Amino acid sequence: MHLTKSVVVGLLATAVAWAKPVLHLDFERDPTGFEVVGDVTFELGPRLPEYPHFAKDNRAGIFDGSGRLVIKDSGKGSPLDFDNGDAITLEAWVSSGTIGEGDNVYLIGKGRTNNKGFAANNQNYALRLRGQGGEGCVSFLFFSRPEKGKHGEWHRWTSDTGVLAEDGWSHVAVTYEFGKPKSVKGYVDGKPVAGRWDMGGATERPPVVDDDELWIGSALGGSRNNSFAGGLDEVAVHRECLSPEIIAKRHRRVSQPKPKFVRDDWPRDKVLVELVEGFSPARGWPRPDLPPVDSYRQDLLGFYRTTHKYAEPGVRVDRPKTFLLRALASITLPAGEHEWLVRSRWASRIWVDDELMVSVPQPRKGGGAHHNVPRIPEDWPAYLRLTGPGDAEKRFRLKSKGQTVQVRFETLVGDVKGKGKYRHDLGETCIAVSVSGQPFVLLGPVRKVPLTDAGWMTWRREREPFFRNLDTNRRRKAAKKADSYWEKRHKQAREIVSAQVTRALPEVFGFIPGRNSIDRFIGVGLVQATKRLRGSREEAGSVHFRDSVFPLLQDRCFKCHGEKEKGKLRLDSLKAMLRGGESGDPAVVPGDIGKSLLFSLVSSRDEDERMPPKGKPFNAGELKILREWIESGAAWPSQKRDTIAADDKKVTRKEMAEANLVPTSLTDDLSFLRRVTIDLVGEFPSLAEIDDFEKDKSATKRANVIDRLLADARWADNWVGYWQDVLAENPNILKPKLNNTGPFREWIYEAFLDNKPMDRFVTELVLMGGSKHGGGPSGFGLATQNDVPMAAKAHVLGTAFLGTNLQCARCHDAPYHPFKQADLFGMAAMLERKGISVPKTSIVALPTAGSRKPLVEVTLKPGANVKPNWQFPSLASFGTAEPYLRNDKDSRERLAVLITSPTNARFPQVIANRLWKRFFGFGLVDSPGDWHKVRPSHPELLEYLGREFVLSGYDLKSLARLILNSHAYQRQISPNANPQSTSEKPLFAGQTRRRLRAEQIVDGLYHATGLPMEVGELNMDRDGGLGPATFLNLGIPRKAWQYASLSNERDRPSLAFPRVQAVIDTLKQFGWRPSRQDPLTDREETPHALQPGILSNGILSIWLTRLSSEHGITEECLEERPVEDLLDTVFLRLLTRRPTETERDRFLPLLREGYAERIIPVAERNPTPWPKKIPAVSWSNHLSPEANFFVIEEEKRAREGDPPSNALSPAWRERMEDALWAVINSPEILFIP
Amino acid sequence: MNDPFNNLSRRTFLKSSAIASIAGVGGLRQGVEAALKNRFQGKAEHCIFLWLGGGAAQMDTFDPKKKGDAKAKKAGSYYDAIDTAVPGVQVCEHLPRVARVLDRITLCRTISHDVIDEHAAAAYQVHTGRPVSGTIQYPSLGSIVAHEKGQLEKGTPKYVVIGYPSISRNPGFLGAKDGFLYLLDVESGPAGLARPANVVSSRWKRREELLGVLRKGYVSRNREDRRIQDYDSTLQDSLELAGPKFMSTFELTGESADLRESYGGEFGQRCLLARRLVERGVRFVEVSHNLNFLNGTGWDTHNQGQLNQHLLIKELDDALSTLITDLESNKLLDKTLIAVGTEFGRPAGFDGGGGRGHHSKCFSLLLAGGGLKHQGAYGVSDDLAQKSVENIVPLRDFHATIHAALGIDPSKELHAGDRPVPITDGGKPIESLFA
Repeated sequence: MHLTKSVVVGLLATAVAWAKPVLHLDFERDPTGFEVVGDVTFELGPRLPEYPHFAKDNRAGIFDGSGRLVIKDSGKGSPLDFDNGDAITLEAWVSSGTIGEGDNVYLIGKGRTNNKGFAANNQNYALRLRGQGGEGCVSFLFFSRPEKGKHGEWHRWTSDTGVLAEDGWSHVAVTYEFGKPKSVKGYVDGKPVAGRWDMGGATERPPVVDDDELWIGSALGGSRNNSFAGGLDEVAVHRECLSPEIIAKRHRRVSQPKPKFVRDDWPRDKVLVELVEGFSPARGWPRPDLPPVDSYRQDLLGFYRTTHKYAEPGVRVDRPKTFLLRALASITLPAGEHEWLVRSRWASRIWVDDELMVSVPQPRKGGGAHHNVPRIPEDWPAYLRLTGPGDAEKRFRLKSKGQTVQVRFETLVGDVKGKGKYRHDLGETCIAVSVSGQPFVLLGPVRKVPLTDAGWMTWRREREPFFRNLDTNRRRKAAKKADSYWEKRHKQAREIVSAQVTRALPEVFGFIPGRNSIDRFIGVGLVQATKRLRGSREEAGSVHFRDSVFPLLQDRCFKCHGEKEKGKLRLDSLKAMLRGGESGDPAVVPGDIGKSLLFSLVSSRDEDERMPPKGKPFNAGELKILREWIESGAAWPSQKRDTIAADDKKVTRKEMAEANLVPTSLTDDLSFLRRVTIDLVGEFPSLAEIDDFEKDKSATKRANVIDRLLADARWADNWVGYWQDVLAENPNILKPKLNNTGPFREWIYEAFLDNKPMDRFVTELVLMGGSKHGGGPSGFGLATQNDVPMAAKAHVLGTAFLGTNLQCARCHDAPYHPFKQADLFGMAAMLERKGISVPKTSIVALPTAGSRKPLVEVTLKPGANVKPNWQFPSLASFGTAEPYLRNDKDSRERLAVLITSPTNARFPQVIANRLWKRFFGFGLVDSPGDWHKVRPSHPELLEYLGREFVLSGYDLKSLARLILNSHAYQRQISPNANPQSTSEKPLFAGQTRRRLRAEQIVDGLYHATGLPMEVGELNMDRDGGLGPATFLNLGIPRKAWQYASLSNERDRPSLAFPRVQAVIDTLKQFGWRPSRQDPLTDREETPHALQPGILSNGILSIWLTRLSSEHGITEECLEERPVEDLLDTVFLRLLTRRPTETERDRFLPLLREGYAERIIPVAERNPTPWPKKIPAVSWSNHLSPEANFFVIEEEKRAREGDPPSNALSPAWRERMEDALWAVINSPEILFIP
Repeated sequence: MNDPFNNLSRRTFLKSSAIASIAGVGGLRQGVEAALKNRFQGKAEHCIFLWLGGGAAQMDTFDPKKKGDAKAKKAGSYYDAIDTAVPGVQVCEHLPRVARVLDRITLCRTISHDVIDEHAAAAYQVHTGRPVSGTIQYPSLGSIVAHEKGQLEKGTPKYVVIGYPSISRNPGFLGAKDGFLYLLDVESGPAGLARPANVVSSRWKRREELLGVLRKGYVSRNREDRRIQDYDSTLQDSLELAGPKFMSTFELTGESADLRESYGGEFGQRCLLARRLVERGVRFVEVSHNLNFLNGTGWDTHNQGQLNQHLLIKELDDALSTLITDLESNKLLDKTLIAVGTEFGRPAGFDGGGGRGHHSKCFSLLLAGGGLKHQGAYGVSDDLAQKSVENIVPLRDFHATIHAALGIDPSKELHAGDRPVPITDGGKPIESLFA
């Protein structure tokens, strides 16, 4: 025995005599004898009158889940050391916060500190609380001393019941005699509790004994999962087993009347939802009266998300790592006993009339992927929706007298103890009731919705617009704070642009139709083109030169021999050609093909000699053009504009008609409606929209439609896909790979929903603020696995807003552009806010032996440091940013201003040109991301549009309104009016035949058929065990832009999303990119056989043409109406036109057959059986073999599609489906009229 | 620089070639290069690429070493080794049928790259031959072959994947026209071509006829519109592709029961379908083998995945050996290169759960058929198959070998917009495989 002296750290504060403890802390005095590490404070503890053992001013230690008290061991023979034969009692008063399920938090622990010099498992003894079934069970732990031939082992005894979180102060104790396994006893509130050795088993072996420290409140170096959160008092260690009688006296509690939780504003007809922030989650649940940061009302106690949080300048920000969702409702149930059900993703509690009914512990979040798929209980009712993956469920029974009760529900959302790594998903948190054994319904004060798959999905679907509205209000409020700055800037911009000397609008040409100023500029272009032809008629051969030879040279030669002077040779004038280059020989000898070096080089068969050195060689047709031109004397007629300007002879209509340049007339009304609806909202006009339009007899009916559509929220949906491409938005739902960004699609969507001025849009993007993984512009700043993310971003910004293509400069100076590496890296450094180094990967592969000298040069070596620097003074000079800077030290803000400052005329023109190209198919500059050395087709028009855009306050809708109201936009399509080669400029005498974008095809077909988009959630981590840095939840898509790559690189069936895949397969064939590593404006549009293939046989096509009960056309079929009317309806919904005579003749007889009997009387309809449930597969369990079978079963169901409606006779329905299929597959669907 | 041509400046070269009329320097050089190229000009027309998703353990399959012990954490092979048709070359005991046809095979045992922790990035690398790049999306092997070899016959796709769509299988900068058609289930056929099961052929006829009315009307109303005509003609192609001629390829029931049984389970049936697709003229078929039913993890044999790995290996043995003999008996083996890919290999040591982690410094890939001069194995690894010792094959050389076998010049430059991108970054075909 080595009991020589006690280490008494505090004094007794209670009336009970303590039996000589060797350690006793009462927290009354300032700390002595021990060290405080981390957050431990001394505050009011258990006290009179509820706890009669304690004085009124008794203090306790309050631990926040990261702090500890450290007591040194006095060395060999210390009274804190216990060996076989020693008896021990460990006791404490505790007021515990929530303990995670399966977590073990330390109250007292000797050893296992992770201190240097000690073995990892050196636990002499420990008193812990273990989270089990929502309680903190008393747990005793030690590690047996390793002996010869025997490893040490853990021995853990845990009680079956324990203390409740948030339930005031309790006393816990454990006694044990080392070496006597049966001697262990546990106590809660003075009473013995049953328990068991649940790890390692009972043993006679001795514990590890050493000189490590004793810690109060923590272990393992301060591990969060093992640290105590809550209050401790009267912590003691005794060298004897206190008797049950003594321990029984330890605890006294005189229950006090609980203060009633009263709210005057208890909601009556709605559920009041409140979100509470600003409390320390580790200390447990916040007080119920803590005021909310946000609140809203809803019908039901069902929660799948909350409102988003917004901050200035109106961007999404993350909520704190933990917040509380509180819901209050008044519920009236019929008299009788009912079963209640609570489902929750996080720890939660429910009170009825202020009586705690049940508390749900936070489900354990295990890592890895080897868990099992949850089993469905044998007796699970066929109707009842499965508990959401990762959600816990608890049930209780409650008698109702038929009166109204007050229900309070609280759930602690987020990571209580860790670093906040989990997403704030709510899973399918809800409260449902089974009234007297009836099926469960989602509970609400007035409304009840069956807790079925359809019930939950309907509820969820209807919540989306509700939340979008709330979010919009909150966002706009947050954005308001920045408004005054932007108003000031826009005012200054207007002044600057107005002051600029501007040319008067061109005169109107009498016979050229015009609806607004745009048409005047287009008219001038057409007149000039006519005059050019007039000139060319006079000069033989020059038409050929203008139309064929010059464009050929421009296309194939000028990049190197014109814009640059490779080999000291230029080919952009006859003079230069005759002079020749380094070789000393002329490139062209007029009339002599044999001596014309240019011809011999372009026609050479030797790959190493042939020009151009890269790309396709000249084909036979091109060689012919060149040969004929040289042989006929190589005439180079003047192309100069002034020769035309000097020609002031009026152009007549006849002359213009002969030149085939007279603008086409306005397109018909319905074509216009379809065109403008697809262009503005990305879907086809609905029947109601068609009807309204046809009924409008006013002269402004087209302008009215344009205004209506500009105000439509779908305007935003229609823009997101475009900017996702241009800004390389590239989130990944499964472990970020190369150049993955955050999902800033949400920010794009919201910016367009709010019609954010474009200069403000760009500024927010460049500043990269807000939430990174939750949909803020900060997500743009992310480029995973990229060694210079900001260089990638600089390239994106350059192409998107400045028309400068800096891509090549990542590794070398651009061969076809004037840009050097330093231009890109200077801008990247501005984004980085400090100098950056050129990475090692910025290298150019050395040319292989024998190949040609590379076209590129490297001016910056890997490792070179580049300072923040703006290298585009011709767009905006560095100093012009000064007046607009809110923080002149921030190079990122300076970059934003330089791009958007009113003195930068390029930016508004780039945006105007982007808009123009979307609406006309051709840009005024046809490569919107690369303006280098491009002559705009209509420079004055471009300037005008840029100016108008600035004057409108960079308002995209205002610019769109201007363009769409022009005659040019509303004209009929003319296939001949378009340029026949890339070097020819468009004249816009007619509209262009344009294809729908992939997103417009999918959204348009869903909308037109009225089929709800139900593909499930784009989320691999469905049970929420991982965080947003590795797994994103992109939600349930309602529009095509919300999809993303499914990234099944692992090729595992269990990682597939069959329903999502069906939509993606369709999107992909039409040019949508599953991964957007780099920016892109113009998608590949060449048709290939898989496009019609996916529309005719793809899974999405099966759904769109299956007349299921959810399908919009099924509803149309069930209406009483003549068959002609039904056919018109189908054509109008899908094609925005009525069928032609020929079409009527073929389709009507088909549908007429059996038409009268098509509807099956309600009584005779076959009931639809509940489909067999498939459990949810998530990342956490996808490696279990049955996970594959479940997903393959889902795949099978996806391929089968929804069952057909039981209301239509099968034979007639099939004919109707075939008709629908034919319409959907008509090429007409894909083209804008 | 020893290469005499490399010092030749473009200017002097141009000048000299302009002066030298017939047998100039250019001509001489062309001759030398052509000779070099011809030596590696294979004659294969098709490629079947079997993909072992997850990372197959080289020492448990194609490069057996002394046995280890998972329980005792002793590094080494998990199985015994057996002799093969090629003297001196051994494979794992669960590959007995492959062992018998090893003379039609070359195991490349010294493949390496730098990615170990990320399946997707490694899969991308093995499919494209390059590490992921921040500025360009490279095309997959299949897309390059589709692009270079072109369509063999109208109404036949160039590139088919039997497995999941993924970025590493994408056409990258080559664009959707060189993309793949994919299917997951052998019997139901590819997405976008297989007609829905519930649409009987009489309905199909009706559908096409109704569509015909709409097409005719639309095209005639827009007679001069090339874009509409182009799409309409691809629509015609697509209807033909979905028609019985091509779709009969997917009816495996016509094959003899013996053959189907010899191919084995789902993966084997996929391989049988691959042979049928090749017969139809498809240029490149990728067959994925990672239906992780057999052992839980597929080829990604961490922890318990190791226990039943032999079931996967046996499945591969049946399918691969039958594919070789079946192609041979159909006189297709010389025209069809078989390649087996996997994203990386595995370490010889065992993890805490008795399985294996990832290892990319040295692992095995396989080539068979395709008219190559096979030799059983090429390249030697160290005693635990963790390091390449002799005849190292960088990934780009493996790719270059595949291209060369198909008559594609691995140094040829493709174009991503203006940017020239060689098919491989200086990859050199394995010389000894070309007779």
